[in-house]
Amino acid sequence: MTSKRRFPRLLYLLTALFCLILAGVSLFSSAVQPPTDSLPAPDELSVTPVSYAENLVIPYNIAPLNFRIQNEAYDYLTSFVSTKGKPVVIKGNDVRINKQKWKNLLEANKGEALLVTVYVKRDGIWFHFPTIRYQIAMEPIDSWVLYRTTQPSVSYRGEMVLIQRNLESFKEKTIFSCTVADESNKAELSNALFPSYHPTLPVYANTVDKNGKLVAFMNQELSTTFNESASILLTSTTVNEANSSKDSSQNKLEAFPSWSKDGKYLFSSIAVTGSNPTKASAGKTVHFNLVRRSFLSSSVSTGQADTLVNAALLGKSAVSPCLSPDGRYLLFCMTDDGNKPLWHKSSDLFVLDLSNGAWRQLDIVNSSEVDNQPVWSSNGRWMMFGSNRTDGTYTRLYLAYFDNEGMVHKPFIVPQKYPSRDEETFFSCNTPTFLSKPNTTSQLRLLGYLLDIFEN
Amino acid sequence: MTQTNGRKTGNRPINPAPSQAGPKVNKPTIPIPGTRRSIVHLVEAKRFPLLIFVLFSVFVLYQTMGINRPVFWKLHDQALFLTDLTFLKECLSYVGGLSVYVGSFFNEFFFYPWLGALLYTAFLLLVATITSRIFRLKGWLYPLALIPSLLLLLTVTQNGYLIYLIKLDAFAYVAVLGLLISLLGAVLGSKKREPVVQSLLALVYMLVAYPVSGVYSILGILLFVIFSAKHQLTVKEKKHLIPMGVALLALWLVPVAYDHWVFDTTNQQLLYVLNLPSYLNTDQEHLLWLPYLSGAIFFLVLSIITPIKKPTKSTLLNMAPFILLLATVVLYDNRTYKDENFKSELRMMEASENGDWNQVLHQAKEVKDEPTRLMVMYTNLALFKLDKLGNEKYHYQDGNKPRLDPRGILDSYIAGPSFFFHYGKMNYCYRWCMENTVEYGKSVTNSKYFVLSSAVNGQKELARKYNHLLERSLLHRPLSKKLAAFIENPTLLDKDPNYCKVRALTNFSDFLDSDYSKLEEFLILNFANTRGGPPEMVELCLLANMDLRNPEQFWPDYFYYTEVYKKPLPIHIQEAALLYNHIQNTNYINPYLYHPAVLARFDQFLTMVQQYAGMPDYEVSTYFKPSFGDTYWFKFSFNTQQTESAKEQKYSPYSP
Repeated sequence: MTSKRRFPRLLYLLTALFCLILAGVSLFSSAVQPPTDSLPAPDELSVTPVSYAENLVIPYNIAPLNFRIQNEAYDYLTSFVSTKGKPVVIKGNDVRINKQKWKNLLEANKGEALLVTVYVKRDGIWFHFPTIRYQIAMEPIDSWVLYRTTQPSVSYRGEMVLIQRNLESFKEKTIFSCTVADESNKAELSNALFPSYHPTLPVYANTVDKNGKLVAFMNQELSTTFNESASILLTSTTVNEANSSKDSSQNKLEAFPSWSKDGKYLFSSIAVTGSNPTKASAGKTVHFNLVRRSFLSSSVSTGQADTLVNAALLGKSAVSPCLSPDGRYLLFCMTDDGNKPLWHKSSDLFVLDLSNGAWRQLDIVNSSEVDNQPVWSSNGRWMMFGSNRTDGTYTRLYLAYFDNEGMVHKPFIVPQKYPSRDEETFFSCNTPTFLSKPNTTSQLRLLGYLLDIFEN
Repeated sequence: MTQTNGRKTGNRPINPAPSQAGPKVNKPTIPIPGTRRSIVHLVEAKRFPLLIFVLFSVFVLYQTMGINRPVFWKLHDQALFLTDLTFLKECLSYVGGLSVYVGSFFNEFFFYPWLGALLYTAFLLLVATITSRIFRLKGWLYPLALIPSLLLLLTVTQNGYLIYLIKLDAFAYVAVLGLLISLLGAVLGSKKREPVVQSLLALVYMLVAYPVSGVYSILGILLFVIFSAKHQLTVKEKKHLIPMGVALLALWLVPVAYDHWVFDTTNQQLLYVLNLPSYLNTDQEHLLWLPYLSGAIFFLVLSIITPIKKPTKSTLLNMAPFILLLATVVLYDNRTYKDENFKSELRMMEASENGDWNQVLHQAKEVKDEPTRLMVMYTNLALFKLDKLGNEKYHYQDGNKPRLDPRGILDSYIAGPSFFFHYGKMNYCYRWCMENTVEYGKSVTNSKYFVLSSAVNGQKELARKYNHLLERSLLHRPLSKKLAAFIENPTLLDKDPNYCKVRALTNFSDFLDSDYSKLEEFLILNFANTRGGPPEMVELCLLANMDLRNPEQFWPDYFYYTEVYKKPLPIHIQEAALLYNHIQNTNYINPYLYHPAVLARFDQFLTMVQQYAGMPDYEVSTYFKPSFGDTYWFKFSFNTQQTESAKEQKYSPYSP
């Protein structure tokens, strides 16, 4: 009896205590206000990731741009203020913003500016750094992105993993890992996940060598395929038909296939390897041009190549084409070297305006390190690409706004829940693709496994 | 009191007859050593378990701290424990990851060999103690409890060169922790409970143990099933079959469920054998599964036959557990990798990583057998660091003994980063650090050379990223602090006794091309084709051309060295110059630059050459070796890389 009486009393007490703590916490948090009498900081703001200290254009549905302040100080405050909604103030040098508050702030201020001010306290005095301005774009970004992680080694490929990441939150899931496969078919499996799919027909394009074997890492394996040929293989999944690109021949490499959104054209890069180039000379003698072929759906084949960018004339290689959804702009990479073209520091991003045939370098997004593999969001307002600008080795994914005028804005790294995550991990992210909804292939694995058992 | 007495009685092992039979004291109480009766008496002695426990502890300490110390040092080097959340999350993302995480923590202590050895021994003794408790192995049965610990030790000592290739971090501790988790299954199964509770326990065990330890949970649940079955046999109630059924279902479905809902990187073919070392399915590596398989079978059989009743009479049967332990010791001895060169390589590696170059040379002198090329390379590196290469290179034993490892591991895997760094090939150093890290995971040595090569190359951000890795480690923060200074100011390397010559060797072509994975050959060819540079570089070039017996490329460097640096010529270079001058019949020699003793010795050498002209090389070499074995003339004239053992492919690393 006594215990029965005591229990509810204890429960009430605990509830009251909980409420008290909650009230205390909320009071305390609302009490955090940016200082009003701060002085300009004598030093420059240093944050990780570096790109978050720039004035940026960001989508309203992006996950919080969490960062870490690297400047030495006794205390830190960071305020996020816009015209509407409640400002967000974060204490400490690890600026991790509440997802909901961030979302509310951004959605309430589409088209407005989000002002970010960092305050640091030194010797009892508050200092502030110049305010950073994040322009919140009216256009959203696709919610999901699919990318592959690899390790930047020469011989070993490590464990290639296919990851699906939600850009609105930090949720990510491994949907395929080569660890599930045998050593012998890891590379093929990896590539099998990355053909260029025709937008409407059950046809996909892959790069194959002269034996019809999938070239899993075009960058890497170019050096071994130089004395042979590589071509684009079109495969129809319904009529079980496979055709190589028309002018595939000895001493010719064709790679990096990419469809136009209407499926009428296939873009790719073609290089003539000359006669018997050595691996070392390949970089100097082999250059890729950007071409477009019409697609003949009736015969699952392509027409003659129409050169769009003659990079070979400049002694360069143009690779990795990607057409904007409206069909006007073609993003691509250009590099000095034909051997492993996407691995060289000279690899920069370019855009070709198909309406007038003019192409230009995207200076604002390029860095002194490798910038490669650009892709478009489904609304054509955002581009994503890989760059190893942080440390010169590990490629990370960057986003940049592409406005109505065809101008691109400053890029920023894909946000992480823990700002130091990119620093602490040792893999490269590449071959990004935007997705409107998450992939569910892993769910089929259990079904497949059970079916196997019952069938056997 | 009664209980205490009872326990004492229970513990008193064996034939109580002599002590109880007061009048029959005529029987000898002290057995004659060496007789069968003496062994039986020993086994039946009251303090026999304690004695054998102590002996076993000493044996394990001798193995871990003594003869296999370099192996355990390498284990520590190969698995880097990081104190941050990212590492934990990384470990939790695959089956068995938590045991790798905890194992890496303990593995880190091999950094201090005595501490690591004590900890590891304590774990093995813990396994023995728990085994004896669960299976009631007391008194005469106690030797059986030590068998699993011995097999665990064998899982480490049997590998030899394969320790470089096992893709399971901290595998020594993973097996120990895994076995402890397996024994937990036996503990849960051995208690008598209501079927529903027991079934729930089986499910919970599998749900917790599988992600933590992988294959070891399978053994654990099997032990659970056997204990439950034994219980069912005693009570003979059908409801007691339920826990067994649930356990078997859990064994089948829990791994499948984890693969589907939790882990994304599992190879379905390996679903039930995860968390084991990556031995290949080859004849040479099949036997490496022996300790794992025999351990599993041992536990399964033991769980079926225990509790074992003592034979009513004192017979030889009482000795069976002891004999079984002895048999395991024989197996241990038979399967332990005994190639001394393997351990010498590791000792040299450890000394070189610690910058103790004199210790490397000491190890080189200690070697009785023909050395491997890597040992010769370590010796040459140490001589180079101590400014003795040109004077003493041929004072040390040369050799080319092949490694007997089943996969033909290359020098570049074992020590590529270190040699490429010390010889100034930063891009190659970085490349091999990357290859090794991608394939076999993060290691202390690779992380160190990642930092150093990036720092020398001026890639500060990258160097900081790798140094951050050591910063987050448990015991390598002092190293990280030291490296941080080099990152900010690489010129400090010039003042460090370990790295002082490195930057001087970097101002040359370091364009990353293929080294064909041949470490020594690549370095020699690279130096042989390099011209000019600081004296350290010219000396290496001269010696490389001497190795290649290439006078045409030798002379330009020779003149550069004598005329630009005007330094005294190292003895071996004097020897080479005299020899080439004689062979080519040139007049490049300025006798004033030469030591009179070298000139006199060369005359003796030429006289001896004339004396033995026309005789076969292998015969002549034995006459020349005592007088000229430490000269370049001997190296030039005879192949000093002994090849006898290379021909004897039957030699086994498992025999002494």
